[in-house]
Amino acid sequence: MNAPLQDLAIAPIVWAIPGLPLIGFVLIMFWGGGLVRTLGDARGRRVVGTLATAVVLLSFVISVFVLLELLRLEPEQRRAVASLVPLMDRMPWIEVGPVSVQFLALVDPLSVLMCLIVTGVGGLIHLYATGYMSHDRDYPRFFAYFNLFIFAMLVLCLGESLLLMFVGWEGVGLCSYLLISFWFDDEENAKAGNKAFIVNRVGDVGFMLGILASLAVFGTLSFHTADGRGILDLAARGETLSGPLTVATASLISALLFLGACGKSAQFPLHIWLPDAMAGPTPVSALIHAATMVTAGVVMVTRMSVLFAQAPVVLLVVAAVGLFTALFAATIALTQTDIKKVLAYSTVSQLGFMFLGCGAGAFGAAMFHVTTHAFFKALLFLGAGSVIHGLSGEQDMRRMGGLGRYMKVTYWTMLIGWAAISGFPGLAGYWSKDAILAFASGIPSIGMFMYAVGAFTAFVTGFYMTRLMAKTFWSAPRLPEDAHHPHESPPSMLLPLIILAALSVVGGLIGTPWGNAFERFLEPVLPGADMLHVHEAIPHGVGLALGALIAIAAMAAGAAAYRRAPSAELLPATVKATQPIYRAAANLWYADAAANAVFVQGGGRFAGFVARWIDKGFVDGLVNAVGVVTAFLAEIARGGQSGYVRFYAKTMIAGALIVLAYALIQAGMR
Amino acid sequence: MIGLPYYLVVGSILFGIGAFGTVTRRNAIAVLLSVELMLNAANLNFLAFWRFLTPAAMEPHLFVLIGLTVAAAEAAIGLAIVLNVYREYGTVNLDQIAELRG
Amino acid sequence: MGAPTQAIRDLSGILPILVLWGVALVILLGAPLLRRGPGSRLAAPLGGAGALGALLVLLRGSSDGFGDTLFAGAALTDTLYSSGAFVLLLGGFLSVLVAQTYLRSRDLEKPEYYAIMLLSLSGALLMMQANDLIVLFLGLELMSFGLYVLAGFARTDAKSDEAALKYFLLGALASALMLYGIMLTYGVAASTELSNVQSAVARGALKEPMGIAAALLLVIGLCFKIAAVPFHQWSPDVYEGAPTSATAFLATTAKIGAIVAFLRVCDTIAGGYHTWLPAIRAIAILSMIVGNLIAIAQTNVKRMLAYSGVAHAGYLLVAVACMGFRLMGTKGTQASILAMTGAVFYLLAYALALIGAFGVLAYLSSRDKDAQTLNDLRGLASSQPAVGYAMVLFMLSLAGIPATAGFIGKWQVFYAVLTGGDVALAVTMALTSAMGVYYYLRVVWYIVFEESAAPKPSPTGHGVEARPRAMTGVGAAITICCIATIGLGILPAAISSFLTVVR
Repeated sequence: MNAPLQDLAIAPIVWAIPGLPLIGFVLIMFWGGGLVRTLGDARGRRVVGTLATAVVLLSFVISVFVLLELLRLEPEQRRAVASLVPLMDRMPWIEVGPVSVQFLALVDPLSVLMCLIVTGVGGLIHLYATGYMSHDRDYPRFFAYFNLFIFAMLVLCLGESLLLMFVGWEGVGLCSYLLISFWFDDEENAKAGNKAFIVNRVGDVGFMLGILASLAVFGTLSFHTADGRGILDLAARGETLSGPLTVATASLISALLFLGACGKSAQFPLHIWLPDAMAGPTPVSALIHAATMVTAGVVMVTRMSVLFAQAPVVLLVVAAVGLFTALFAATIALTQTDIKKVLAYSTVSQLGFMFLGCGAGAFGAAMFHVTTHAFFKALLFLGAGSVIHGLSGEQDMRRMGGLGRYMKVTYWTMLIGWAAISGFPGLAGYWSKDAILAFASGIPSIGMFMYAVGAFTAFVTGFYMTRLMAKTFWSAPRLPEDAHHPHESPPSMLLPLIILAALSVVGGLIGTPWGNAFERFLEPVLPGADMLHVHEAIPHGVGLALGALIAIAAMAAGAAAYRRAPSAELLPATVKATQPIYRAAANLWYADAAANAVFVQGGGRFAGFVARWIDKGFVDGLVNAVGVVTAFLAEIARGGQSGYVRFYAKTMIAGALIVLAYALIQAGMR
Repeated sequence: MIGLPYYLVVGSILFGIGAFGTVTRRNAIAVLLSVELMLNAANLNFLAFWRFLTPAAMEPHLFVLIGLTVAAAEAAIGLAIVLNVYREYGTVNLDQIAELRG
Repeated sequence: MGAPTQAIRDLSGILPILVLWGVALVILLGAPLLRRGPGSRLAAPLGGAGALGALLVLLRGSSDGFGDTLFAGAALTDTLYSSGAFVLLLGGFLSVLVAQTYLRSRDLEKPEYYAIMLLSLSGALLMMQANDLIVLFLGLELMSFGLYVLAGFARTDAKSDEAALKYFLLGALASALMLYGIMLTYGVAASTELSNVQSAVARGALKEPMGIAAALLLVIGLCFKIAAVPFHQWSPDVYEGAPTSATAFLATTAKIGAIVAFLRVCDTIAGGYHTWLPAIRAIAILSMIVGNLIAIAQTNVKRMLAYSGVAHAGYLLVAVACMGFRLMGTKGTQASILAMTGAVFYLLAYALALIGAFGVLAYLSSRDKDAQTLNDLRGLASSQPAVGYAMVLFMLSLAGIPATAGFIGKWQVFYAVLTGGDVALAVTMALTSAMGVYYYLRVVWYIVFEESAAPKPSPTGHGVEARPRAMTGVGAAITICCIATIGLGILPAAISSFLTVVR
């Protein structure tokens, strides 16, 4: 279990995996604009786009080499560190007291897997973006941020210590903020960016406190060290810096870390930022808010699985939050009319599945779902982007329909994505979702309940995705009269779609229950799973058969309900029957409204004050309600700053008297 | 004989009067005077300590000289600032000099 | 050792101060020549040379006799002083660069400005070097006098005068409290030399009411200088009213000088921590909360930075509180040393980001416009990308986002207080830092996402308004601050040889 750190022959070039995107960022940030000016608009843009894509794909190639190198080692030896700074074996970053944090990468199956996903899927999305963003006036800046994001995400995945992971963690948050608000003429976008950043801060406090707690308990921040005293080494042996690791300690740290994961991975109630974040350009949604960044929480929990495994209560909470989020978001997805919003809530829901897997102790299955989800959700987003592009910016499904004949490639690839996410037998989503549900059924005492709710959510998933397909492609065209003629997207956008579609078909085959190569690959990094005696309460055959049945039933039911819907307003009878629930779901289960009622309708000065803040463009929804309360307090506190110097002197003297009196009284009592 | 406590009490009364003056007087010059009073309270006590605690040491004298010098410099700067304020505001009433706030 | 050698040692120990005095004297004597005509171009370079010269003298200072006391115990040289002085003089030099451009564009330039800056710096140095409370007081006053004058330097601007008056009156009040505290210290310790105070504390001086009052009055006086709650109310008004270059200078100088002195004083009285530690902890927590809270409601960037400064005073007080752990076992001793190093690094990161941020405001100011509000920053990323992104970087550093110097500083203080075992302070620090990101981010929002109010730059890439100022002082200051903020965020070890405090 505690295999020593290996030396990899390829270690000297590991730095290039995050390094190349960083170089791309610097080049484009500083010279991109100049390039576009000197080379002329079209050529300059082509150079910038090619450069940005090339560095990411090159990182992908290096990641593949690292993977091959890693595969040559014995499974339990696949763990190495490599410097993140070229030409230096190790470079210290922070050295405070006995704790030294260095710019080191941890190369093991988990980090290599994430590198492959981030650079592979990321590279395809870069390629897609060269087409999608071709008319944007800030083309170089967009790709600069995009490359910076890839860099930060790779640091997050590769970082050898919690602190380096945190660097990447904050970095991706910042890039997400910059990219959401990219089209900043749109005030909505800027607001969404703000919301995303603020909610993420809530999570980040959790993460930061988790880091501090780990530091206090384990006396180090490295995951693994050469002498076997890293956080994960110690935790795997059930030790701390001093004495054994108690359940309470493990629970505290893992709970704090899970709070961080909730923020980044949009779990209830910190999910509210993700749907709003879809206001940004579609490639951003695909890359950051579907395929990579939002799975960072799952990656972190998986990385720390050995701690979570020793905190049974927290694990149960993880499973419950995941399951609830999955169902909750799926019902909202049923009601949305904006094609990207449907996919956004679908992402929240799928992330819930991943956390359900983590909570069940099936970290490998969760990572498997991360992988397949990256394929098919990126595909769906890019497909949706292609539709939006073809309709010159239209996102409302009520004004779509019958698009299949105009955009054949988009249609067929979306069809595959739809089948994959719905869990159509044999496709990627089928295997990974089934694995999670099967392990969830093994959760002690409430496993079967979890399985049932999860299976129902899977049904809802198939249903809303079918609805999306029906409204977009199958039903009669409802395009506005004056709309442009829909057109197919350029090849640079179609190629990524085709590749991702292919991956969505075959990508799941690496993790079938028979000869599960994927889990065997990840197993060495998941000692936590062994501690928990994770098992499947449902036999493989039954689970797979049920999964297939549910998927087909959902797709058929959805098709039956929506296939013939001639007008956009018509709701299927099945949905009408449950109207109160429908309305609640359509109102996002009143989450934002409740926040509004509680925080906004306070009356008097408060209301006027809120109005003022709304004017400033910072307020909406729950997060900003917190912001409003804080700002309200700020406004009160600010009243003390009256401008009268005599008042200030009084405050000072009063403060001095209080301090003196307290100290003297305290001394008197001693 | 008048002992140390008497001096200390006088000192603290001076200090208290000064502190009271800084918060109650509206005239900037008067506030300045009140602060000088507080500084001199400290000077007085320094001498009292010298007389009763460390009659052999010469530091307290030095401290008082330093204190006086500082007070003089402070008064010079203070009056200059008050003069500038008077030119702009036409008053030295502190309650009317409150443009900066919030 | 003969008397003359001793005198030379003493003087060489305060050589940076002597350099500052010398150059200040040259500027004051040469003022008639420097005031107008060709000489007027020389005042700022002279001021810069003074700060830089003192910095070089400090760096080249001989290490033999280091740790000795000077002038019969009145002053001393140690690593806390030398690292603090490094940060202070660097900040002073950058402030001169900012002032050069700002004063000229606002028609405020007078040679005396630089002389006063140098004298103020010498006061702060004296304060850090003090081994005697009276010397500390003298340094504090010397520093403050300069700052009062600089705050009111725009004599015909009512706001500047008001700022100076408020700063002066409240500062004088704080000084009086402090002097009273020093006097009481003399009463219990029969000396104001720090080593004697320390042994008096060891004998239990801080158990008597007079000793308790003495310690707390000292604490209060220093808390005023760093603008900690509830002694902070001067700072927003002064920051806003003072000329921007003076704000940059006084914000950093006062904080650096006072925090280093604070660390020294609290380290001295660590033996009686039970009297002052609760007060410092309470003041630290209050400062972190109140500062971050009120900053949210500000639309004037200078005011916002003042409240952010209150919050940063709180974070720095966390480091000061660690001094109280010194006598609590090995962990506590370790915490106190880590906190000293951490606080100095924090001050450096803070000074770089703050002077950079005020530098950006100074850069944007012209004869008829004094850039102060968020609106003045609107759309800066598209109209003047270099300056805009520099400001973004400074905000991120102040917010403590990783890969900036601000993060490293915060981390060091975090780590120190955690080593000391004070979870409450660490958690408050984490929570309030997260809160603080909100208002720093709002500045970023205005810079990056808001449309510029000014006309767009012409397609040739040159702004509508020619900006020849890029190459003058403030441009250099912003560039240095940028490079250092990023550089220290990634490679903090580069500077550790100057900044590590050893005991």
